[in-house]
Amino acid sequence: MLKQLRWLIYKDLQIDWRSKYPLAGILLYITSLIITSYLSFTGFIEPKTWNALFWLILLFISINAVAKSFSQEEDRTLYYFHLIRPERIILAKLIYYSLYQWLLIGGALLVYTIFLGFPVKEMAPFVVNLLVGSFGLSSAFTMVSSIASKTNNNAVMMAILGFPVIIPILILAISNSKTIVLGGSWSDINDNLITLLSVNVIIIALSYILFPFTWKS
Amino acid sequence: MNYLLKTDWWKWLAMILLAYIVVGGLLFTVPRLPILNETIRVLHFHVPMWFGMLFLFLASVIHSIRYLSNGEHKHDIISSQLATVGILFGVLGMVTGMFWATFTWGEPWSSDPKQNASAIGLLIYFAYFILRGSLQDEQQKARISAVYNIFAFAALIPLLFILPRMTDSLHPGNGGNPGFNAYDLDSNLRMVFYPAVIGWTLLGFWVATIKIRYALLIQKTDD
Amino acid sequence: MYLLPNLLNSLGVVLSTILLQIPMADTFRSEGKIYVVLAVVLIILGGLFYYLLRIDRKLKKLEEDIIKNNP
Repeated sequence: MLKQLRWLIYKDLQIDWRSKYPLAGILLYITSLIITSYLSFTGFIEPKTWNALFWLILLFISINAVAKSFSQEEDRTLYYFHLIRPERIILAKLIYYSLYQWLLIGGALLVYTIFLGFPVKEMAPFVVNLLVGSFGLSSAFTMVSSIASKTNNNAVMMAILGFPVIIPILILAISNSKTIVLGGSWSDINDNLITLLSVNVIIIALSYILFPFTWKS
Repeated sequence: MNYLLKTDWWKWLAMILLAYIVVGGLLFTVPRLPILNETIRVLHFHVPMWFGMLFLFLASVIHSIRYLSNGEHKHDIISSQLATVGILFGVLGMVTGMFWATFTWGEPWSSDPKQNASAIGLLIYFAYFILRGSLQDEQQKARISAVYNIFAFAALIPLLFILPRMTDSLHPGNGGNPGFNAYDLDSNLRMVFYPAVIGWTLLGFWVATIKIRYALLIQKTDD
Repeated sequence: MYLLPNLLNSLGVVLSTILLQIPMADTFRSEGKIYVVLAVVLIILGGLFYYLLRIDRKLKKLEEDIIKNNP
């Protein structure tokens, strides 16, 4: 099973590497968003605003990055998938896109820090919250993308279907982030973090169970 | 649900309960509370809308699951009609809530967590119907929307129950609101409130069964 | 320990009722006008229920007809 997963992930990696346009597009998107924010905030930015803006950027990265996850499964690769169990397909996608997302966010955070500073004192809780939150975002969007890819107006569908589903994750992660930016630490965000983790688990479990039904059609 | 589709007695129960609720809601004595005054009677009408909505959505999800597990098309019909009536109750709950809030909280929308969570919950089900509308093939429509129904319902639960408890809220019973905890337990109110939840929920299911029977008939005559 | 806030709360309600005379619709009710409201709502409810029952009966008749014609 691991071999199949690795092959699937490698295949996605190859596709993305071959045509670099989507990746380049997103990187460009990130930098232009950050530079625009830098220009509008000329100098000092309050921690709360820093946090809010960062998560906004993160959300848009997430949607754009994961949007193409299922839409690029054209018919040419479709026949491969009749040979592989659907559960492994969704697992591979979940893993690949969470890694993809983490990479993009790391880059975004770097560029963001360069322009707008880094008012976070406690690194560990901030990073953990970021990783868990963005993992939830990418998983939810991956599942929604699989549903939206069956319809005709893909991009709009993803936003409509995805946005309500990610609200719990966003609320938890952003409030955690705000607490940390304003000087909190592990004990302050503990409860929220556990809830966030359980929401992630629910989403992943459901994706694993439900994806085969989406795939069958 | 089959039982509800075939029997009638609970419809009479619903009517009797609702008549009782109207009489009791208007005539029984209520606790005298500041800010709320007489509007506390709205409790028997606004809150059961949300309970009814939740029961309807729960039944909708159960039938989505049943559709995925045995593929009978009637479960898809039942599931979507229940969701429709659920949305109706949700919208009514939201509108009545906003109206009530204008007179007691001062403004129709005060970004109270429960208000926001309910609005998003409704958005989820609107998205469910948009999804259904954009799929042509009957089987695919049924299957994909069943998947989304289950997925979105699971996202709704943390939204509605966990999050409002975590933050401050104008809603009674959340966020340390003074003076409201007393009325929750008032036995006079409870005498009307519990039947109200049952009565309005039964009414919701009655409307849903009518829509379901109609849709099933159309399906049968189409064959 | 948990009773104390509750006790204080109830005390506050009683005191404010006596001291502030929280306005309720007592005059409205004493003049019997509440029964007008009640009657109006019951009439509306009655009308809606009658309509629902009619639809229900029509549906039942349709269902029986279809079963009779396609056994």
